[in-house]
Amino acid sequence: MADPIDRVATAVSDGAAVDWVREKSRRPEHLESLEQLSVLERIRRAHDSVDPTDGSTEPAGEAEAETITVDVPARQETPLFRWGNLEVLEKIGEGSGGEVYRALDPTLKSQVALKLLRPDHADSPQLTQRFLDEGRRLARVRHANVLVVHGADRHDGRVGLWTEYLAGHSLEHVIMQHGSMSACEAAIIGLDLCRALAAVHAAGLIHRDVKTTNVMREEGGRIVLMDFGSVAESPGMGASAWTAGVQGTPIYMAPEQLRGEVAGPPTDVYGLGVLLYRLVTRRFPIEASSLSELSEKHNRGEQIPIRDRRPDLPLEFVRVVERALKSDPAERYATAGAMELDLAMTLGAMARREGIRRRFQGVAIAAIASIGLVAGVVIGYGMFKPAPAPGPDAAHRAIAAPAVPAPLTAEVTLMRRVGENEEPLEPGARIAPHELLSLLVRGNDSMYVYVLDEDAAGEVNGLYPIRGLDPANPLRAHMRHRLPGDLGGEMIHWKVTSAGGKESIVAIGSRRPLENLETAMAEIPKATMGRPVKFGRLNPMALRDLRGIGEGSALPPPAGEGKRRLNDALAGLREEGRKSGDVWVWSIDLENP
Amino acid sequence: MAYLRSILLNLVRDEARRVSRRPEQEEMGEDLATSEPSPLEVAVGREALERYDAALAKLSEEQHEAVVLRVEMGYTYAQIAEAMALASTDSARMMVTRAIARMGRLMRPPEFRRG
Repeated sequence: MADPIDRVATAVSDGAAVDWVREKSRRPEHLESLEQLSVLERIRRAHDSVDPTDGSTEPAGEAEAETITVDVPARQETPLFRWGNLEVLEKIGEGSGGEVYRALDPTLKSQVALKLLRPDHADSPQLTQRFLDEGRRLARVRHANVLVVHGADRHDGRVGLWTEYLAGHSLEHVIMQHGSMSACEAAIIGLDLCRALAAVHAAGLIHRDVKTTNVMREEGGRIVLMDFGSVAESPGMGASAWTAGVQGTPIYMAPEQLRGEVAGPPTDVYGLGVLLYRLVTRRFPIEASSLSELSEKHNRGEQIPIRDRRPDLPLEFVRVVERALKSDPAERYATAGAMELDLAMTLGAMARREGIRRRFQGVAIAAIASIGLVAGVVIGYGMFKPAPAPGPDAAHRAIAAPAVPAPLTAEVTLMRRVGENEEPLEPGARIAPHELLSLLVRGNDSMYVYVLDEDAAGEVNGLYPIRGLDPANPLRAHMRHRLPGDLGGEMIHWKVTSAGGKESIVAIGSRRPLENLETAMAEIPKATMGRPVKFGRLNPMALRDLRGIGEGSALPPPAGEGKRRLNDALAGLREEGRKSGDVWVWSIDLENP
Repeated sequence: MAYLRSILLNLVRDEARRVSRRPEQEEMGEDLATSEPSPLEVAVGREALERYDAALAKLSEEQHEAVVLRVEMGYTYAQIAEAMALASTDSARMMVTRAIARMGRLMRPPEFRRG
């Protein structure tokens, strides 16, 4: 089915897992309908778990189509021990004060998470009280995006709290496994967390520990705020201040929180700002190796602007995050609801742009089919899944980089798509019309990358960057990027459209934007979605500009040298790279007879 | 027969909804006891449930029945086909899917209800 709503409705009906965050970020123009379908899915799941007919009907979806997943414990497990009514099956976590187990509640006929106070803490009335307080506070908050608590009790001398069992991963795990998120994906998660925090604040609580490890993304995409161990209570009648004391995780803390104060909801707004910053950068706005350094940086206002780390982020999103991260609580959003409103408007703006882009894209693809392809390279719209997730980003460090960075370098591989597979191309390899190419790049530092192509006749065109594709420059360090990139989650390739004798593909990387190169590239034909590249001779002016980049070789081009090979023109850049370590140049020659 | 089946279904459905929305048992310990929302309200929120009910009321009788049987009562497509005298399980799946897609659009807050 072409309509995304129909497709997702089918999945909801079938009981198939839907990754809501992914669906919403891919189709932000349908955000609100998808949101309502996710509500329908939750209604359905809630009915499944309540199951008032108690087995008189089959579980929904059983014995039906292939897309269906049925959430049934696959095997009979032997309990480790019993705690009250619960059969404790497996230890799934451990913290300073307690242990967390997966358990089976025979009454609810479902799995639950059981947090037990450690036996050696059981004699401490304060710890016991704190433990029970966490449960009591959680029970005060009833919201779809907040962990559901089922009960708290003491059995066999052990105090425990049992909650819903979440199958999924923390947001921290998600970004470490799959790389940083798009602004759209982060904003959708931010919306859910604003709603969760509004419910927390409405219950007279401040969470004080909003961070990526305390938010779970359940299988199916539900976002759940958990861990209420650091919560501050609303000041009682006549009191003027929130509960004081430093609680939480320093690197996420608002400046006032670091001083042991709580400003009310704006304190959580700050935490949410840090979380959103981290989702899109995998870094923190203020990084430090000690608490005192962190405080000093706060005092000096040394936040790294989010756009310095991700210049491609939409301005609306950047503004929301920057306002949430204001040092002065009075300048932040006063409530989570106010932040939710701005995030929703941000998403609306992104959705409008997305709608426009998709309409354009439809036209462009139609154009490919109708006008036929002439010569050279065209961007092929490959309907393939994106490249596998990159590995963990080693760039996440709390300590500043050394003053003299290592010379810039990158692993680069040109890939050819063969059926469902990809194969690397060696220098001198033969390529042929209709083949799909892409370039894998993994740099040792964040870098601006430019890719150009030249054929035997000296025809040059720009292959990367291409406006609208993800990733945009600068490419983040230590991650494998596939160029030219993805569009709406679908991988785009360069398509060879005709023979050209020989082709040279050149990639240039730099720590800073190469303005001269960007100017030069503006003058040469560029690969554009769905439009064959129009070929023109390399403009002698462009050639001169390319040679002049980095001051490596500023010799003016000899007259009539327009066909001179691009590699020659880039010799200056290579020299510059050798000298400063701030630029690298890579190239490959291919046969395209 | 169709009329009788419809009455029976309505009875079962109403009872099922009553039980699921207002559970008799409370799982909370004394310390945590609350008597307020049902698990369904907890899972989706009261407002969302109200929007769900309002959207259901706007569906055709057939679509309404299909959604309740599938979403609330967990019927298989085969059971829905049988209960609603539809030609095949595929027809039932199509009926439910269309109804759910329509629900998704109807449940949007008014300012989003254009397309």
